[in-house]
Amino acid sequence: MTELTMVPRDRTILSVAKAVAWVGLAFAGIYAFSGAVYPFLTGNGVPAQAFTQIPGQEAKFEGAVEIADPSLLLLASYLFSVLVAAGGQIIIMVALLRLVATARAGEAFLPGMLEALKLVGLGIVVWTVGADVLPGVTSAIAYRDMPEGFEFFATFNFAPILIVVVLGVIAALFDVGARLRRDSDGLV
Amino acid sequence: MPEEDLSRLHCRVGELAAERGLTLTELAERVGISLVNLSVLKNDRARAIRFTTLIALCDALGCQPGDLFEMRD
Repeated sequence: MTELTMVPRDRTILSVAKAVAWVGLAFAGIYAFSGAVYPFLTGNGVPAQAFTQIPGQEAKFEGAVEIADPSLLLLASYLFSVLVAAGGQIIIMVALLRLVATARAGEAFLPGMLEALKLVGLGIVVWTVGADVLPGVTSAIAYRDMPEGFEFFATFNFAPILIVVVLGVIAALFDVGARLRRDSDGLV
Repeated sequence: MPEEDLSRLHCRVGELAAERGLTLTELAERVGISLVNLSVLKNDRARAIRFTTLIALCDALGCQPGDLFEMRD
């Protein structure tokens, strides 16, 4: 089956998926650009996540503090985290475009589908590093410049790990499908 | 098995259908497989055949399974 022999519903789904991927790419670009120019355009400094505490209360809250006149290391750490997070998003959207291209070729179990799924997993890992891990590093670097009442804060979200594991299982299942397809190729 | 070895097994479905005055389209309808798959069989590009297809072919052509295939050097 090729795109020419697809039913209109399938063609619509592929077109929507392609549009979603391009919108995602655009957002990743906007995210990267706006994050990169933020410290310079606003003049507020480099944002760093931090714990903050209301005086007189024990509870701590996740927040952000902007470090004015940041060191080169802090600025580099912040920019790197923004670019890595955007890079992860871009990898995921490129993988989605590859998935659409493979589906347009009319074969669901081509090796290209498997590679695209692996790319999605990689994109999620990269995005998690950029969005979760590196901001913690930035916070650690910014700690000594934080005003009174703010502390270093780092977090890690384990949901992406579960998603990557599930993607790995799906990729393994696609591998099985590809093998079944090879075995039945030419079967009448 | 290399593809060139598969071509040693020739399927005589085209010859048998012609002997019985059947077009491939008619034969495909009687057997219940697509014309594309019947062509694949006729042109020795098939890699495997289901027993159900084999039985249906023999019934439609009035022949034995051994009549359908021949080995070539």
